[in-house]
Amino acid sequence: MARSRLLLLSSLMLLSAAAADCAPGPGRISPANSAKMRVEVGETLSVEFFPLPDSPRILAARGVAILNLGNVSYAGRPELSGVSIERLQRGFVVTAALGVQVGKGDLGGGTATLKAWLQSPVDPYRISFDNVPLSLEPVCVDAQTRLGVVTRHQLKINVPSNTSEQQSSLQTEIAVLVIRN
Amino acid sequence: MRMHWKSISRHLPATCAALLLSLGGALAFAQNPTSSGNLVVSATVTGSIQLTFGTASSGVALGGNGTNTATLSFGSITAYQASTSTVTISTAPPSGLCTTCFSASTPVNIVVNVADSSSSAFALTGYVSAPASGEKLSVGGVTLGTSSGSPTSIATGLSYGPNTETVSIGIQTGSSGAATYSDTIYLIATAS
Repeated sequence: MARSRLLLLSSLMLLSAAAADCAPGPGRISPANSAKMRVEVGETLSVEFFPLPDSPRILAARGVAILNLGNVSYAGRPELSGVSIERLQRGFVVTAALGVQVGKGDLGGGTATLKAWLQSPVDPYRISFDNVPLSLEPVCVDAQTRLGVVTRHQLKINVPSNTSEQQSSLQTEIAVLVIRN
Repeated sequence: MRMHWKSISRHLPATCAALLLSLGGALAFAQNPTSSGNLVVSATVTGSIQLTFGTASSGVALGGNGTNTATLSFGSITAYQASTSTVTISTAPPSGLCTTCFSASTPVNIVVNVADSSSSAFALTGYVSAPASGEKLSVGGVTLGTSSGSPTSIATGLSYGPNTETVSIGIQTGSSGAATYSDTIYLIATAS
């Protein structure tokens, strides 16, 4: 009797953990849950950001990177190399490339799904990753990211024209989640 | 034996539930591995203005129309006649351009746009690099100097958008034979 209760209790605990980790729908996925899952499975993936030859510098530590695009304006040239500007009828688009590596070493040629989202609103700017608009909800930006190699990705920031402010700063954090296929 | 079956049957629902829950837990461990990363992106949007040249409605068609490096060809001109109707020849050139000379003029759209700035007007200055002897150039009726360090003031308080200004070249009369003139005019718009 006591053993059955113990079994029941432990099973309930496992189920609650599974429900948290396997929450359906991208909106319920969080980095904290993914870290927990990584420990339990005993197989690790990693996400790292790299500069490319034609991209601006990226300051990166394990899993976290800082991409500074410098001063950008409608008419002027970008301050930093690797940053390009496309002028629109009203406003402009800032574009920069970056490299992402999911996992290291020989991972058997596997692939992973790459999802991304914004940690906070960035109005009036609009940010897209590989031409997929980002929001506060995770969205799939690459369903077949190759494992173990640096893959090229593109970040775009749409800056609408503004007639009231002379200077404004954009700082945002993009969260990336990879799930092995 | 009977007692044992009773015990099992009494605990059967709980046992099944426990087995199912254990299976659920095992399935949880079978999920694909994941990982996460964060990318901090920063940029500073600064105000800017942009100057481009455009073909005016009654002016010479510009090469590089709509860009900031346009070319303006007056074509063949004489003291009395131009080869195109969009060029006006005058033996009474704009004041200050030149004396004892004739001029060829055409309107040009100077388009200055502003973005991310509260500026509502701009000043226009300019200079010409190394004009030939006996040759003068003017924009908006103002004869341009040759100093890039202190460019000539053409106009102040201009509104953003297209501004039509007359570009003129004054040629000293009395020179012998045909001559070809090629000059570069630099224009600078400064937000005010």
